Amino acid sequence: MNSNVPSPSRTEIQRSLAAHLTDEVLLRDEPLDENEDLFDAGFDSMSLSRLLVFVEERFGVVIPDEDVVIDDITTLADMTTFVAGYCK
Amino acid sequence: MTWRLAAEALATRGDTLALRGLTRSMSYRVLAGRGQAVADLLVAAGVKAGDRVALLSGGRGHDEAVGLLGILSSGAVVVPLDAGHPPARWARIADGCRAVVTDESGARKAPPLPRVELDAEGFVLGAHGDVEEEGAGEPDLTAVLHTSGSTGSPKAVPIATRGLDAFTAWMIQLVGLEPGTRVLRVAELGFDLAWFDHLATFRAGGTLCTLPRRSMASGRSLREGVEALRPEVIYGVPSFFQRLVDAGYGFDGVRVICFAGEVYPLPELRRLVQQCEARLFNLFGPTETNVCTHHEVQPSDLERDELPIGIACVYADCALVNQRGETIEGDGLGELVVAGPTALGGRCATRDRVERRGDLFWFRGRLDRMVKIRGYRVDPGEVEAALHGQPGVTGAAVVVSEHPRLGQVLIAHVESTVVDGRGIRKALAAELPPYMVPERVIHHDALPRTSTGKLDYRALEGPREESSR
Repeated sequence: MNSNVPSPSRTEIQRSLAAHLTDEVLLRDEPLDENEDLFDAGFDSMSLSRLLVFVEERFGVVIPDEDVVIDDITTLADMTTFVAGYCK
Repeated sequence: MTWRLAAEALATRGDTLALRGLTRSMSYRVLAGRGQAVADLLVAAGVKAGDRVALLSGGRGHDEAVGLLGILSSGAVVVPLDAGHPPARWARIADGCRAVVTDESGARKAPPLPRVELDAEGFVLGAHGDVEEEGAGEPDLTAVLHTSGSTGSPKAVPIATRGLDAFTAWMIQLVGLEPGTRVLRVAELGFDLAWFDHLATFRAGGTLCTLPRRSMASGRSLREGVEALRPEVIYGVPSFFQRLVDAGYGFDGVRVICFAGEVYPLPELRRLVQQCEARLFNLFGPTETNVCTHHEVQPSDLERDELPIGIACVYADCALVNQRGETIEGDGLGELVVAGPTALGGRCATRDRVERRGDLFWFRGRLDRMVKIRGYRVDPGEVEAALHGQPGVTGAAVVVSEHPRLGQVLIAHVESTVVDGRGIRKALAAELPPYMVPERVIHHDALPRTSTGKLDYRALEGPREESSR
């Protein structure tokens, strides 16, 4: 990221991931609980690609699909921690 | 006699592994026992031979194979419901079904039918309700699959038992399936590719290797899961193999790869060949006829810029027909018409444009508007019909666009009094399979039209960035 721009806070990352997941990826009205299982909510390989495209555009970081280990990332909270690691 | 999957025959395979997962496996003896238990419950509930029974497996566990075996052993016809599709679509597809076999997670949302509920290992948890009325049975069928239809409803495609008999016998020989051969389960049962995974594998006494749904989601989990299952044969869509290549899977021990569903881009195919030593087969055919042509990839193919779809399968009589309905002899370009057991014994006009040059057939596009999204066929007309059902929408045109990361995606252009792309996508997601929901909805005050007043699709194709979702 550009060094003049402060890194986004964890809250900010989680809020934008949550909004993107419900409105654009999972396409539902109920808000996503941070501990809800994403895969039970219909998250799949296409969802992951869509989310990574969004993260790239929104936060300016590139995360290859292969870096995502889904045994470690099953919830919005996990996903936030993971993305925050790239936004430092 | 026509072969049909039945518990009795599978029981004779004894302790050979029928199902293998990352944590649990199941022998043919156990699979046959559990399948027979499901069949007995269906019959007790009043299901007759030729009745349609829906199958819904939410968790991708061993319950799906048990349910499939149970339904077919009862003499009924399987109607697969895809766990990734919205319940509203299941309800339309299951219309006409007499019962449903489902797992616990599916049971909460399954259509209201008499049901047999299984746990993830295919053990019966309970049976509820009886079939009330008698229906006209379809005893010659094994399944009814549903694909995208131009009329705005899912298109029902009946799958004949004789056709699957011919197809699986041929595939077992082509691929060299033997007792114990490990086959990776890739596609879901609503997709015709999956009928090789389940039926040909069980017919030959092979082992069907299943990954949990979440392992299918990302590159590394997919690679590690497939490495652990060590399959010898994989049949999937090109985009699945591209994901395996991207994830760095080494294809150790894989001896045959079959792909179908969409065109394999040659640069991608070259990458696959560099990573594996398997024999590669390009299989071709719409759901209505199953595979009707095949081609084994040769080193010389990789130097060209396109791959032939090959020669006709032994059971399929493939002819090309011109616009006047006359059969083309020798070289030429026309509509592929298939006759034989996989075409329900009749003649199926595929709407595929195919060219014959010498001994080989080459795919040249569609005669209708059907497109492929990640191997799934989509009729843009069905998506347009769903868009027309949304409040304020007075016109809709759906086109395909290439996205650098997501591949081929659908773009919806709508003429609407309300600008709410997000609301439209959510409404469509409640009705249509995920691959039919447009990636973007672009609002127009008026859609472009030709001088004769028809929608001008050509003017809508290509990238446009000025509008919002």
